[in-house]
Amino acid sequence: MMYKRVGFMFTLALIAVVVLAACRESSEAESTVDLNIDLAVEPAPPAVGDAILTITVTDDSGDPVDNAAVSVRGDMNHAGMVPVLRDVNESVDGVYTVPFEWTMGGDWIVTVTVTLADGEVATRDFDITGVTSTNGMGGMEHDDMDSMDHADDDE
Amino acid sequence: MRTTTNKRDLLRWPVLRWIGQHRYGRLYLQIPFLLAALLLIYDGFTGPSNAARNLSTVGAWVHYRGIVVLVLLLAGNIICMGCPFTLPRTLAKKLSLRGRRWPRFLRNKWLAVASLFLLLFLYEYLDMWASPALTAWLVVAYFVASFVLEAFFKESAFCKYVCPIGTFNFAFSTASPTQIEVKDPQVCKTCVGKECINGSYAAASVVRVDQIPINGGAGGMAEKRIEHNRRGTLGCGTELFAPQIKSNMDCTLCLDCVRACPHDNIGWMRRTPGRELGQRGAWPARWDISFLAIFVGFIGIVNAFGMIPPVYDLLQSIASFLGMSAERWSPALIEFIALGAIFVLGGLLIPAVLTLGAGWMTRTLTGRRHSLRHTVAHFAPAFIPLALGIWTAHYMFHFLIGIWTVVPITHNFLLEHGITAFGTRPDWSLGGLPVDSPLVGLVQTVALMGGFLWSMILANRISTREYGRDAVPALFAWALILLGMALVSLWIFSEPMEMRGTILFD
Repeated sequence: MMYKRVGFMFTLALIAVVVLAACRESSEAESTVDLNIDLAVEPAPPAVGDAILTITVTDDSGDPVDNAAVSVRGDMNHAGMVPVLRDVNESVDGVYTVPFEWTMGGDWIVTVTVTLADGEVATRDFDITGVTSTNGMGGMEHDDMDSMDHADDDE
Repeated sequence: MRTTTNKRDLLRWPVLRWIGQHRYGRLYLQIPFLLAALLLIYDGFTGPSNAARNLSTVGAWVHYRGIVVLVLLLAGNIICMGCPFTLPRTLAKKLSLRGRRWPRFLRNKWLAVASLFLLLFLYEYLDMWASPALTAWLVVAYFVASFVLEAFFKESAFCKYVCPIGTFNFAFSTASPTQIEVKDPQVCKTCVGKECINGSYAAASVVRVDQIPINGGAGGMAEKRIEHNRRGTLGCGTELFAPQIKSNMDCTLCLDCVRACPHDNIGWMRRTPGRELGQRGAWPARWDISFLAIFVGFIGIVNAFGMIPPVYDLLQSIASFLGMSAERWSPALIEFIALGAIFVLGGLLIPAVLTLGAGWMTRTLTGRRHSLRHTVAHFAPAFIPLALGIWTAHYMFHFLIGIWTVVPITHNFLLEHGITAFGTRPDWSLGGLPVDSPLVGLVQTVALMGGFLWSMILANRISTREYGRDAVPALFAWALILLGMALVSLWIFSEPMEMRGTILFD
């Protein structure tokens, strides 16, 4: 009798968890429009401290996209660090310049979200690996920035 | 029922008394821990894959680790007291296949040392700190392992011989300011049932009572039958006999002994912090226990070293030295071997060699007064305070700089489930102290230096007790090891942290 009761409650709990997970809505923005988003980082290789992120946004035809609201979020890939958040609206020929700061050495995930005037959204994640703790080279060779991983292409 | 009052007994406090005496007292403490563990599993599997935004990773690797060292230092092994992984224990016991004894050759701490070593190595190698899913799987594995071992074996085998968290907690609870003690040893001498270890509901008696005289009556011998009562309490899960407890090693603070004792003769007592570390005979003179005490400090150094930039230079050097890079092995394989080498060397071989070397030197300089095993066993407890200082410095760094990050992450979790009562925009600016905050450095320095001084005082006291006039030569080698550990730790914590999940080898 006890086993049946435990089994019943376990099954009920499992169903509840599945339903909860299925109904869960991610708070992360999902792309509703196809845009090309590229990221360049200066200085390269990146080091702790101030940096400049250069974000280039173009449409499918390769034409620059201006006057968009660009949000940048930098998370370290481990828990316990405050994200670095930046917003920028000004651009020249689709190029958005974002003052940024690497607050700690290590691997980062930079999420760029572009919101157009009509409300369409495009987002892209970039893995920035090996931000060094000093201005010099760390122990790891850092490849050409053009070969950065694009972790998640939400298209 | 006889009652003895002892002013050191924490169970005199109302809430603690209820936990200690109520049949479900521990359960009510375990329930919030269980909910937290289930939450970690749930968010780890279904939440954001970014570790910085997931409750699983922030809960396990930032808040749990920070809280555990504080609790061990200030109170005791409350983490094991509230452990949710043993909740399926009762069900497992009912499914138990006769509850066989844990194999004799495993009835020591070697497997526990190995499991703690493996956990810390995998934490670095698999980048668990960056993976909510892996963190969730780890929590699941704990539940499964605990349940399986409880189903097949008696003696809380998982807790006592396997659990890496328990091993860590056992080692450092030896420095805690509390301990289970009997109030009046005379009561225990005349106690018939020994319910503290047998339980007032026992599947099988550990200590037979049918030949124990009751109150020294005529003839001296009488039989006392233990009644198996469905409302009874299990005895000590790790089979510690309360009147003989001298150490917190293996004590999970489950308080089953307190609940089971018919004489209300067991208390959770305040004591001088780390009293047992300087007490002769408090620890058995066993190689496994001695090595555990020394190992936890060295593996703490290795674990912290794995998070600073020089480790990547060292990994590269090892890879080049072994020719792995030239052979174009996969980076994952190279990292496994190179990182494994650092862990084995720093966490196992170096402490083993230094321990044996220091023991040999002590014996040589003091005329071989004690065996090598006893020499090591004498000084091993002195390593605990410094080791605790190392782990405290490490864990408090993460805790202090990330203490409030759980707020926006939890807020985000609620939003993802349609709960907007707390607003629709999490405040992601909430964090903690800045990485370069002087306060963080101060806490780390105090932890390290405090631990080092405590260890040195202990080692000196032990040396004086065991070697008298030869105390200084006896202490020399051990003091060098402790000093070396402290200096290396200071250097590590002065380096900036740099966690990398991807490592490329030339």
